[in-house]
Amino acid sequence: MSNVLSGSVDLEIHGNVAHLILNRPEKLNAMTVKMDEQLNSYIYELNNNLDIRSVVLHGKGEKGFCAGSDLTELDEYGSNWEYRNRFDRNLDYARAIWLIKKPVVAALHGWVVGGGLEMACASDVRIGSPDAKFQAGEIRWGWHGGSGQTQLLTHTVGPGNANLLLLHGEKVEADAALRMGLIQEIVAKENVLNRAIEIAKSIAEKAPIAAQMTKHMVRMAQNIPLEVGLLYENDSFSYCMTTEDAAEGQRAFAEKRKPQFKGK
Amino acid sequence: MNTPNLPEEFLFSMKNFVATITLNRESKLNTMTPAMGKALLELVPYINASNEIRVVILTGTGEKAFSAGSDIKVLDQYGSNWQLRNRVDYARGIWAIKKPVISKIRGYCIGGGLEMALMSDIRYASENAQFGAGEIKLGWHGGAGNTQLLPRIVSTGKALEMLLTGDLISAVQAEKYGLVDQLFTTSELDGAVDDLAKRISANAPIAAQLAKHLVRVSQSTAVDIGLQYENDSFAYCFTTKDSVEGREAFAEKRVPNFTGD
Repeated sequence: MSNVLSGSVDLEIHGNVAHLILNRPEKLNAMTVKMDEQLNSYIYELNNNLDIRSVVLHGKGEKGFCAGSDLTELDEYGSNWEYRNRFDRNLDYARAIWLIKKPVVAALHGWVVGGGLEMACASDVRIGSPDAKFQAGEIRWGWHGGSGQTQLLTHTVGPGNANLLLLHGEKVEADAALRMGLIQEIVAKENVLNRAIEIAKSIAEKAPIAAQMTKHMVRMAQNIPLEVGLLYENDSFSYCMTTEDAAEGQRAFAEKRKPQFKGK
Repeated sequence: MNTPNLPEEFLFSMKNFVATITLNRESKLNTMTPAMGKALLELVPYINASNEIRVVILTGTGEKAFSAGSDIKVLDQYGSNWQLRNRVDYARGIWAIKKPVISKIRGYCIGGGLEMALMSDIRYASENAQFGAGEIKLGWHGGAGNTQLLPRIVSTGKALEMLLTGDLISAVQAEKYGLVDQLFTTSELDGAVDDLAKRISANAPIAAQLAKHLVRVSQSTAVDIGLQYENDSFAYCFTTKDSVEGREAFAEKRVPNFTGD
């Protein structure tokens, strides 16, 4: 593995919110294999640490969230077949975001490109700054994205918009991204991270089991026949109602106070 | 990647492109603990990444059991009900292996043991094997594939018979159902599995892995989509060095020597 390239992915835990920080601002947070490995090494902790209830994902520096893979370093993934199999050895950064079971809020500013866009689409809620620019530019180099670009983007923005991004390969500005539903809100650049944290904190105050189940069921809605989804939802709902937190919620409602959830 | 450190309840060996995982808790019918599940899951990326592994054999120590599933006595080690729901699951670990997996089954193959066998690709068993989804007798149903994979392998009626009674079926019945792919005498089983593993590992690893992948795709997608996916994968196979070697060997009437490239 290369060890000459700069950059890291950092994990910070603030209260019940984990922050995943792409930290290579001098290269637009372009992902190296080392950063990919680092991000993947956090997933078990994110999923299993009961103190973590939601996740904020953001990139350092003024210029952008993430420019995707560092194309100068793709060979580090090995042969074509080994690169194809990166999911199977826990070495794909967009897949890593997808594997997080807790809700993920992405704060997006500046360039959100290639694998950066895949990480954004693998998140659950996306907040953008007015200067955010989204681009699935892989087609310009002779391929399409391999970690969700054609699949997640289509689920997120619909086939017409997805095809525009994927085949035209040009950037889409924040206001157009908002119209397509690629981002849920636009807030001033200096506030985008704070807004994402605010949403993540709000999620972290909810009952963790219900919040995680909700994320799971929304994914199911994108995956399975509606009739099965409706039945699954009802069984999940019934499960939620057996939790201590649901009992606390009902008590708090009756007592007109804010519930205190424990994740049980 | 380095071989992960494994607890003594797991034996892991590699020879001639064949890896063998042996559940090694004979005195407890090779039942699984949460720690064993976590260790198995840590082994999986290594198996998937290693070019020295083309086939995996999964088996248990001794004659009495392949595995009797989860050790019920230590179920509480998973934590709260919610943590149990979110567990690192050993049968899902077998499912996560991308290389072909052969289960070599002697004795009891029950509960989570049955789920590990179902998550494998080919099941060979000895005449003393017995199969059951016994969870229902304890008040629950399997949580890692018994209700989902069993009806994909045996008929719906046979699956429900097993899932609703929790009763054991014999090796002979299991073979009749298609749950066991081939039955052998106790003394023949090792040789038969070794021979099968050898024949698979002699084939082109990329094509073998993709064939496994596409069979799984066929179980989870519409046939028209599966057919298109198959064709794209077929085209990809022809970009590999091994496909060139295969054609050359065919023309030269010799056995191909595949490298996995």
